[in-house]
Amino acid sequence: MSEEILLEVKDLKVHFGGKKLFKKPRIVHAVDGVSFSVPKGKTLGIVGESGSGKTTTALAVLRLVPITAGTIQLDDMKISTLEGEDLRKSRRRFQMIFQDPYSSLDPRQRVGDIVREPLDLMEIGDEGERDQIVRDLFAQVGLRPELTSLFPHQFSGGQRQRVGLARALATKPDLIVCDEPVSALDVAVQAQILNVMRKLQEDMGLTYLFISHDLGVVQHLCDYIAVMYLGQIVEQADRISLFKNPQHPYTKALLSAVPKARARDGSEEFIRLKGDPPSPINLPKGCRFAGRCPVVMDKCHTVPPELKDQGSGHMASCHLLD
Amino acid sequence: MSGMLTIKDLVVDFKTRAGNARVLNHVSLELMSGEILGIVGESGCGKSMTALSVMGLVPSPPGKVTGGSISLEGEELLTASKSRMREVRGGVISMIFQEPMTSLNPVFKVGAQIAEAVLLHEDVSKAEAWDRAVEMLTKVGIPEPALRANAYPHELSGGMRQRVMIAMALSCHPRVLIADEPTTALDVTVQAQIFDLLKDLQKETGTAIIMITHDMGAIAELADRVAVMYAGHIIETGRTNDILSNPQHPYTRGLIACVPHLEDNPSDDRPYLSEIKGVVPSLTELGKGCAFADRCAYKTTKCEEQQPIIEPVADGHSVACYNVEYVVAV
Repeated sequence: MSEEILLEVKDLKVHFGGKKLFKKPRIVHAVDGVSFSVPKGKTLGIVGESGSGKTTTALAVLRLVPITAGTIQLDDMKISTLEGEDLRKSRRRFQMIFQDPYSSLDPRQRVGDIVREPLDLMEIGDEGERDQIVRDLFAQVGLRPELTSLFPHQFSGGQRQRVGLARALATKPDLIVCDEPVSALDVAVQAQILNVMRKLQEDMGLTYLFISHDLGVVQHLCDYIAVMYLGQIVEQADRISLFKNPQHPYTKALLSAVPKARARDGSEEFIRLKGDPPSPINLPKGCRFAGRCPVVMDKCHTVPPELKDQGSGHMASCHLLD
Repeated sequence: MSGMLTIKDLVVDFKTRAGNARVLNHVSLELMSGEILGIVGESGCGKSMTALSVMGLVPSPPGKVTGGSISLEGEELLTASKSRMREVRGGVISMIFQEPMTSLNPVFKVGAQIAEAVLLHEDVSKAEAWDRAVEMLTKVGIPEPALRANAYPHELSGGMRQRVMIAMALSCHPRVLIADEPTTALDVTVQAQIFDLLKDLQKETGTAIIMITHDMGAIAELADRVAVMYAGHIIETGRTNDILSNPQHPYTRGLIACVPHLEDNPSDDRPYLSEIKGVVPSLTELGKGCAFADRCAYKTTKCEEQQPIIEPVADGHSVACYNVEYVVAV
């Protein structure tokens, strides 16, 4: 990745829980030592199953959950140490699109006011100009500007997600964190939103951190992909390398589990995982994937593998690759 | 193979403040014994309502079955008595719902919930019913079934809960199983496990399955035949491979093309996704013509005037479109 790096996360840890009065503390290792960087104008996808820590990673980058350890650097700004008013002011540079377009818009506010709110809070433009900015934003995301005076319930799911997108764009952020932005939408609407997101990225040079469990969508939209399992990144590579040549057994199984919407010829091989991911409270001593791994060795149960470069920037953590 | 369940010209209306909404419009389907039939479509297209009609569970009022027939091996279900329908539900036709989290009762042990279904439909003692529950849990691949039968739903993971739902649905050896988006709430690796389980159980018991989903991938994985629904109409049916490799209705084509499919061999060239323009029409405002006409690139005046009838175009493949020859030519 020789391009200019916009977001750099180093050894991020987010642990929940802790001290109990009479019991032994139970710590949830939601994110446990995650490092990645996103070049300017590109998209990094984080994939994984529920409980893998992908959403917590996104929230930590936005400073919406307390960080246990690690640093987050956005351009020249160290987000991880900001506090109070500085943190609030800095938020104009990183915004978020939420998963559920139904619950992430205030039902009692007109959509124009919803999009205007970040402009007011961040004091962007003259007060008189702001309504015009809102109308421009609406046009950018493909909504008719006269819709600003309606309420969220008068919109369809896809239109609401466009409103959410306009709100995120209002402060002209560098980074937009998208937490499963299309998973609540119907497939036909999903395509429309993904196309708008790509168009905006090309026009405005946006950088996306894209959280999803849908590998088809990730392959379509993302330039780089990180695969998470139980709070750690197990494999990270650019899109071509990861999908063409997956290295980690978990990635292979994940790719194999996705149903392919094409006629079957019977030649496909399937890798099936057994069981569910273990609990993030009592973590296994060795490799976290060992309990479900189809090619597990003795060593895997005792020694945790390191995330290493397997050639031309393709990172994976597995003893088999050493 | 013989017809197991035959739905003919089924019409379901809902009274709403905006007027009468026809949620199912002359839906005809045939489920053969021992096959998996997929019903695919966007939200609001009527796929779940088709399932509820078969179960006799259309919320009424405001809903009402206003026409058509549903026959189960020759027995008419729409006119069947309430007590007969109670026997049918769970005993002959059973259903798995989308949300395994909310469709189990949180205050009863899962074993007891499965045993309840057995006790209701068969003349067995409580102990026998419990044994059957444990046996069913073994069948669906739950480790330590005797122990798990004593667990409460919150102690199980999402995948396990869906397995419990499947065990419950199959506990009385139904001849038809309706699965309404059984894996939407689950992770892909768990989804693959559930699909394998359904396929294995289907092979073993010969139960016919109706699988309702919005995911063409799930259809490709499981179904023998597919019916595509749009705004209360069935617009295309055929064998899964035919539909996937040679879709003929413009909507089916759009539905397959607009999903970013996972490629084994991606290239640097990433075209924009193809979109189906516009939105699904409101069911209260459907005109006389084809429901898809407003969004269709091949629309002619005939499409706006008269609803096309679904007609066979090839062996086992039917389409409701006037312009199939132009659509296919592109």
